[in-house]
Amino acid sequence: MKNKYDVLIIGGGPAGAFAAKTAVEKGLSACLVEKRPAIGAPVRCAEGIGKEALHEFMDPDPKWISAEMTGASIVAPDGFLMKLESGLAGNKVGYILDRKFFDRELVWKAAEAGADIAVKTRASAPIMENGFVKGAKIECCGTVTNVTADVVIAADGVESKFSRWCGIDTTVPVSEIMSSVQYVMADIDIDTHSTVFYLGNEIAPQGYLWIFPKGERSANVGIGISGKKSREGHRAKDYLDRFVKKTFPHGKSIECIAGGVSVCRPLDCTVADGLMITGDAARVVDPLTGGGIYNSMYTGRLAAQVAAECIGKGDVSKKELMVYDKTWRTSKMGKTIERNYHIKEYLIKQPDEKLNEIIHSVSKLNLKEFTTLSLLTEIIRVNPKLMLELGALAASIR
Amino acid sequence: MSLCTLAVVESTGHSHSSDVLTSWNRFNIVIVNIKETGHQHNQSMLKVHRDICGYCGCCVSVCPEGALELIDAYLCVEKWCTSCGICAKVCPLGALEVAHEK
Repeated sequence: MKNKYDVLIIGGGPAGAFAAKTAVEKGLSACLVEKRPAIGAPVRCAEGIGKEALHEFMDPDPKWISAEMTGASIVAPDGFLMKLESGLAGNKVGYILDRKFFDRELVWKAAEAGADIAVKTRASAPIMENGFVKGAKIECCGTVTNVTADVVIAADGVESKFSRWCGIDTTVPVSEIMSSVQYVMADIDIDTHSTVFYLGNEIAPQGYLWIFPKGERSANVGIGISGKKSREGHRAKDYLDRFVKKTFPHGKSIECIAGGVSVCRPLDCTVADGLMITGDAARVVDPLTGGGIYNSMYTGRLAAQVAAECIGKGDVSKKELMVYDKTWRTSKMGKTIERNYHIKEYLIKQPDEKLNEIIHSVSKLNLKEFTTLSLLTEIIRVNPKLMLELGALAASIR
Repeated sequence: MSLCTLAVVESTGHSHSSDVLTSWNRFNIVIVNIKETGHQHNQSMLKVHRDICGYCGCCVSVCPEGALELIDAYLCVEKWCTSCGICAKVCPLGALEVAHEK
């Protein structure tokens, strides 16, 4: 590791990896630091990503695809199952990744492109000069080094400590953190090509429980519940254990990972003088689905693109870096986050009876496009009175 | 009126690095808030049950004081923790506890 780079990236997840790779492709020098001893493990993620979303960044590789999905099911609080299928039979709609290998591949690609990578190495403080972020104190095995950079890209995930040290409040409100646990389960009876989502206040208060197949007889079985609803005896793990005991009494858990997923609005501003914030650290997780892989890759890549332009112009002030913030906010991703935030706010207020009613109204859907939007459009079509309840939101969905 | 005092509960045996801008510690230093109520001292402090902690960082993201930090698999509690208990509430595994002592 050198003492000076054009761009210093904090965090080796999809956001950081894409930022590092893009930066060096744009001719910049870049270094990515990851505090954990290994890239990709343990991954706090259900590992689902839409087919189109992934293809926007790379072609799928069997090395890091665990399973291909052709459909999804939603289970109502009363146990009624709604099946969603792609308009085209057998059409792939999404993938369940193997992020241990996926994340490693992304960082490897960044390294191959020319980025420096340091694992078991953490940023412990920013280097500030006249209000500008100028780099970071980097610690590795007890040694502290000052590493300066024109731009620091914070990609440090849900914890989002680096931006906080730079004076940006990244605190997630208690009601907007999904307290989560996931088991990788083996030897269970599942539909290998369909994800399953369970809703209901008894099963996963203000969140959902998921089964994401990882292959034959194996799946990520996890849950996210609202931090507001989490308490002693009613924690994410308690709910998940209850479900697993009932549904997969003979299944075996081969991995147990906890996590936190933010479902708040993104940070008010994702740049500062010399600093750009990406991925989970910027709170750009989809508030309805909790999905963040695409959003991380998108913001990571975009941040590096804008950083390259600004460094080229010799001005990395907040004013110039704002191009990044404005671009993602007005992008399809930014608009989806805003829309889904409102939908999530509506849904968490609904009693189980209402959720039952909505899900019963559509027992089987063949979607032309396998997106949250087309699902919602269909639900509203068969439940015209939802239009009134959703008000302005309904207009944004149509 | 409240006073604060530090209690070093446990050491991991690492050397302490002093030249970092944002102070943090490798010791499990927990803040002890002493609220004086007459002659009685009500103390509270955040306890990390390390056998339960899944070092996931969920608590870190909700801490209003920025007093928690995850260093790989080790959750550090900064000296300015106010024992508000938000982290203990959201922990998916129940690894955090605000312990009250009289």
